[in-house]
Amino acid sequence: MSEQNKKKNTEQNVKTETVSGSIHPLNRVISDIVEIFSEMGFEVATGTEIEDEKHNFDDLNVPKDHPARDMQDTFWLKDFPGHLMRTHTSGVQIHYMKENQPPFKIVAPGKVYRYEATDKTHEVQFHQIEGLVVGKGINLGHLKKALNTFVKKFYGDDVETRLRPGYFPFVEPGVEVDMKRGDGDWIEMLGAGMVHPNVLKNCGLDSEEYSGFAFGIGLDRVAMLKYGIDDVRKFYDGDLRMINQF
Amino acid sequence: MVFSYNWLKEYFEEDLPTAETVAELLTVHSFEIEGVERKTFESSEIKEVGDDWLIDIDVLPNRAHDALCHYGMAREISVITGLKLKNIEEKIFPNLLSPKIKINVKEDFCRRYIGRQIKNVKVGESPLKLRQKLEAIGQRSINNIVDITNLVMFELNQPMHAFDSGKVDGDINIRFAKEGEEITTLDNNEVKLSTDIPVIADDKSPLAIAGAKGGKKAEVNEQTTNIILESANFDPVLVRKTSVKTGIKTDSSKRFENEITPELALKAIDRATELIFEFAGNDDTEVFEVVDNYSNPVEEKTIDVSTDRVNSLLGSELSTEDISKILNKLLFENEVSDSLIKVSIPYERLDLNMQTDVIEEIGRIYGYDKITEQDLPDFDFKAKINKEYGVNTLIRKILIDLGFSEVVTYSFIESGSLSPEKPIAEDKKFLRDSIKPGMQKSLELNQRNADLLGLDHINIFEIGKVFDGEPNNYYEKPVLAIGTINKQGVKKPNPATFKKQAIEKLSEIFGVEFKIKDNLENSDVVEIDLEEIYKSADSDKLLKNDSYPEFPAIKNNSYTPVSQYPFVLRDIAVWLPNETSVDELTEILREKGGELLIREPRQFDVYQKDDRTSYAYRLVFQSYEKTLTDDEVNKIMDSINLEIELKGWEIR
Repeated sequence: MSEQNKKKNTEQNVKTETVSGSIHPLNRVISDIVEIFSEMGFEVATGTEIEDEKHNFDDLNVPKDHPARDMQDTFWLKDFPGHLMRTHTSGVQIHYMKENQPPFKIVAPGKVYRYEATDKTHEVQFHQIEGLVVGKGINLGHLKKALNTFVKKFYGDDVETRLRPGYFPFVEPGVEVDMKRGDGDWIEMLGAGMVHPNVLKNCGLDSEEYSGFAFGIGLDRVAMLKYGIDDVRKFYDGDLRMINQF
Repeated sequence: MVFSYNWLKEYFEEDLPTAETVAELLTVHSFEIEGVERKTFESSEIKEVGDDWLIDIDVLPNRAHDALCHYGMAREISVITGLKLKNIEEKIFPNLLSPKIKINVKEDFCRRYIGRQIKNVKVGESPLKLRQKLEAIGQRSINNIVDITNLVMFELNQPMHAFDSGKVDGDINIRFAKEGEEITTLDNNEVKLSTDIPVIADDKSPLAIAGAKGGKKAEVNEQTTNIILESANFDPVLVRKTSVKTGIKTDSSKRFENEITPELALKAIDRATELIFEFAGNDDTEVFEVVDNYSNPVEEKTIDVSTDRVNSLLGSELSTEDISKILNKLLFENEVSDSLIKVSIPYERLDLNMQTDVIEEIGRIYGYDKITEQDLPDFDFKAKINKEYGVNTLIRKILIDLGFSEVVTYSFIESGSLSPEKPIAEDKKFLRDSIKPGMQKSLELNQRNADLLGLDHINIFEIGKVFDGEPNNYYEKPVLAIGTINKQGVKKPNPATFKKQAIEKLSEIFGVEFKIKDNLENSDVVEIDLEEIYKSADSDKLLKNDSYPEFPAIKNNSYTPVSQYPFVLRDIAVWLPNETSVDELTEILREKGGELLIREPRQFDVYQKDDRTSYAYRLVFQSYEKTLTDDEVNKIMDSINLEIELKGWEIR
């Protein structure tokens, strides 16, 4: 008999029927993360899924005809020049910075899109949560502490983290945050960095006066790691055999 | 890009740490590593040279200017290991002849063009030493001349080209293609050129698509004796556009579109000349002076870096001296005056243009692990409640309490009005203008699995955006979709009852009517415009203490995979004496059902007559390994029946 049958058998048969519904695991992850950042005083911000090139790329220091654009394969809209399905939630920070005066701390969860062939770890749609803190005297040490706090609250105190160099045109220095449990391997967790001076400038903020950090977490990956889901496509097929387990 | 460890080693006098250690250091200070693997060579001749290690390093656009080549990567390794990097010696060629070629740069897109004639070369197979390097990084060997131009590119980052000068008619002209011109590329593709495509041409026709691909006309082959070497620099945006337009992406176009400094060109052509002399030359070989068209030489860049700024961005406490030392490690010449450092930027570092760029370099070499964590300062900032997020979360909570499950389906569907320029699949050609099609699919899928799910009623919802209208006059609208359907054969209650209940409950709690346009009785799925709800809901009242609703605790912390094989159903009804606990029966069903009984036996009928009660159960069997046969399930049922008969109970 397979291990899975054994597991299924022992786990399920001791349970009684429940009629309670289930929250989609991605939205549970969003809710858990929002709660952690809310406790740290972050505000939730939201944005649209159709975005223009200016907010999705230009203002984020990703110029037209620059190879950095290839890092995010894009669904451009037909007969609608300069418009696209947002490739990340980072555009929300641009709108927020233009409309609000620092200091602020925000997180922006949402659905994003990439034009790529699908497989177990790639989907044309997925979810991200973006974070942004802007104020006077914000530095890399603040970023490190905030993200470490998040990772430990979300994954547990036994988790170690490290920063290593990363490249995202909208931050500098840019870092990747990895985590590790015990003797396990380092696992890539999220991308982050200090908001690039050009981005601050594009949003009308003086980079001599203000600095900030930003981060982006791929939620599908987080949920896959956290719950042991092996295929990203399972999030989007509306199958209660997966959803109702949670 | 894949790097050969043996190749990298050539640039150091001292021994390098192991390939794994180098990869580890690069990970922490410089680049993401995609993999490190041992390379054993296929061809027996190369095999004797010994094994190599391949390090696949993810060089992103910010460092493609300098590190997409072995010498550049060796420079980086030198910075992070402190091992001294060898200089590539500048070869002095004696008796250079005066050039006989004329090069006409007619357009600004060509920032520099160096040509050099070499006469009497012997074209043939590359020696082992060269072939080994190319094979290590997955490149095909063509002939010694072509291989050398490739090697120089993978060594110094400067794409190069060699023309057979016997096949060139007249001058070399750098210009845009003319209307109607065509070129046959080296890989025998006919490419129709347009007037926005940059070319290298002789006086008659194009010889190459500038920066992207050489042409067949002046190809170097075994018959070639005289060549013209090209080492040039082209505008990155134009190369990128050309590459998109022609669909030609090469190692050369990749480097140009990422931009490289024109300063590289001379160094590269001298390096190639040296190698050609060594590996394709003989006593008769004659080398000519270069013809160098370089009208706007780049100026040396310096950037002022202030110690305060470094520390305020990194959260570090470095002294000016510390910073200067780190810059020395980076091989950046620098001059300290008070707390300001004037940093000379090496030509190839096109990514370094402002103070912050240099601070990042300082940070990563100093080491991010040394940065001390700091609590966020007490901001004068009070987080407001986000109505959209709050309302959505509350709706989720209410519906889940009513037994609904949440799905998230695709935003791309078969029909709609707005569409992506390039759809990813036939059934995903449009942006959804409704969540209904996605929900309908989900309902049907789950209806088929109702027994497996243990559900008589499939009740689901989704909250998401829908898109409609025309470009320039489109809308993106938040929608709640509620879908209900019964298991096949289940009549009561009518699925509409659950939708009605949900909508009433939502309306009651929100104090706002959740309006549906669809007919509740006849639609599996109904939609509610949430924009209305965001507008009219009183979030102060709904979201108490300025916080978002919490969901019920999670049922499982880890996912049990779903079997890909069909499930098999069996019903059983048994008369039990009234005084016997039904638990005795379910115990038998569980125990004898064994591991293939995939879920808890589900009671679907109870019926009492005199001193006996009939209990009916539905059993669901499924294997993770195969499709179960009737025989296999019948055997299990036989053992259940036998056990029940032994108890003296009657099976109906």
